[in-house]
Amino acid sequence: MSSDAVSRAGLPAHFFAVSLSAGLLALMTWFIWSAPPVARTVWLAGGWTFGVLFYYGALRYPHWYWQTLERWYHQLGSPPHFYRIAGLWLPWLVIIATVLCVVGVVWGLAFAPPHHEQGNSYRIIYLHVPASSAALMAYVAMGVAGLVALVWRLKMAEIAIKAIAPFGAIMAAVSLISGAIWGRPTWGTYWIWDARLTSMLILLFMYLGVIALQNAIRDPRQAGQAASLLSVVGVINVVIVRYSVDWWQSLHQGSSMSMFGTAGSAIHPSMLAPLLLCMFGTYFLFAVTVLVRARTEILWRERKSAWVREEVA
Amino acid sequence: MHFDSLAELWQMGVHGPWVWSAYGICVALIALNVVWAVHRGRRVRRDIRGLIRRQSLQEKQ
Amino acid sequence: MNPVRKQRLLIIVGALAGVALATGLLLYAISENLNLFYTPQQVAEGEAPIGQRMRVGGLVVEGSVRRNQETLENEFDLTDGIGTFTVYYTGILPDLFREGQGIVANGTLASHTRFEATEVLAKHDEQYMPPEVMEALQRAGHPAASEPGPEPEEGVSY
Repeated sequence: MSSDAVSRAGLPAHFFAVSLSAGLLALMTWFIWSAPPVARTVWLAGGWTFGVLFYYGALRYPHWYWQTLERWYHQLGSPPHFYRIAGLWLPWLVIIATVLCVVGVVWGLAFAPPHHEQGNSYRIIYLHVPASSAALMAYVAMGVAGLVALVWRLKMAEIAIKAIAPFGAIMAAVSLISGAIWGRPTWGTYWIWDARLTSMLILLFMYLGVIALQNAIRDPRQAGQAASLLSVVGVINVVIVRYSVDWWQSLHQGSSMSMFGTAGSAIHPSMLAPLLLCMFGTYFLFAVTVLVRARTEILWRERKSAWVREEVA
Repeated sequence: MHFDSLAELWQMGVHGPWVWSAYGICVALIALNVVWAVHRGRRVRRDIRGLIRRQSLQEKQ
Repeated sequence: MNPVRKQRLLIIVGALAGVALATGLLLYAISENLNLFYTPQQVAEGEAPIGQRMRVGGLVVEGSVRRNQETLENEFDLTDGIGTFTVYYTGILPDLFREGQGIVANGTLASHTRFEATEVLAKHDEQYMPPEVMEALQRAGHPAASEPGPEPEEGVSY
């Protein structure tokens, strides 16, 4: 993972920048294949501009790119650096999360139009959809951290899992509770054992399992490795939650949102705008709680080191 | 605003109880999550300060 | 990547693939049971067992609903465009029960054309529109305004 190792292997540094940007471009092109025409143009143009700039920069200033990459890797992987950087970011993230969530929820509750059939009960989606999406996304993040923790034995990755799990569990619970309260007036039942609801309940149990594993094993490194394994394997359940409404007949409706633009979306823009605000707000809330928990965990694990003693004094 | 008055906002047609109970319970849960995280941070800091104090006492003895 | 890490990565990817395969096979094997309900097509083709408690789901046929306000007896036809049968239900129907709307009913199949329901649930589709917009769409004969809603494009689902 250093530029020395790469030059020893006889490959120029920009080779990696090229493959990275080519990979990104391929991924984006593949993603936007099914997007509506306008969104497709925007995404393609943006993607290619980014890619060309990235490639040009990498070719022109390869050392700067390598140094930045290495700096990120070391800063993210080093607890004191992470602690300090997270501390600098936190106030801004708190402000952004609060503003987005408050504006989104007030807009959704009081200003968005009612639903043509459900009336006002649909306003629960401003809670339900962001929470469900955050619960799924947090598990994927946990799975990636788990993979890094298992292969590279990076201490920060284990700390990340410990910081993400409580947030994910709360969001899965919020998703299930708000869904149940919406389901009673809309479907006629609080709960039904259909594929989507059941797999979401399993997601909550996976989060609780990760938390329980960490508390059950005394040695923090061993606990971290066990929790990492469960995080990685559990990602399969996220895929099942995502596609459950397509694979099986369920009472839960199919996807309303398309990732790329509103042309393919079944949600009217006047309802979608506050929903997007709430969703981004929830993602920032994710960043806030994860950083707070990660900083706490870093302090505790490094409590014998000199920098922590200076920090808390 | 879509509603004409705050009372109408509270009633939400017939769906007031559902919407407001969902928001009440879930916002409380999310707030609890944040408070819990911050609280644990404070406790850990206090515990570490305690550790340092005990250690320096031992060193003096 | 050094050999130890490479080996770890291979083991984990292998284990993950194994678990994914096992899960996939398991889900495939119990696939039938994961479906919440039988479709009218399955009922018409005789796949749904007669006389057993089960769920059926489909769209309420336009103009087929007959309600008796005094006895609360309801009957309506359920279809998926291929098969059709009649549902008998005594009780209050959910708010979202409409002609053309998707529903799921719990009960027993008396014959291939008669389903006796003890519970009727409204299935909501993925359309989120304000009332005025929906009316405008219907007036214009837009496909989004007719049931069932258009297949969602690839995207995030919740």
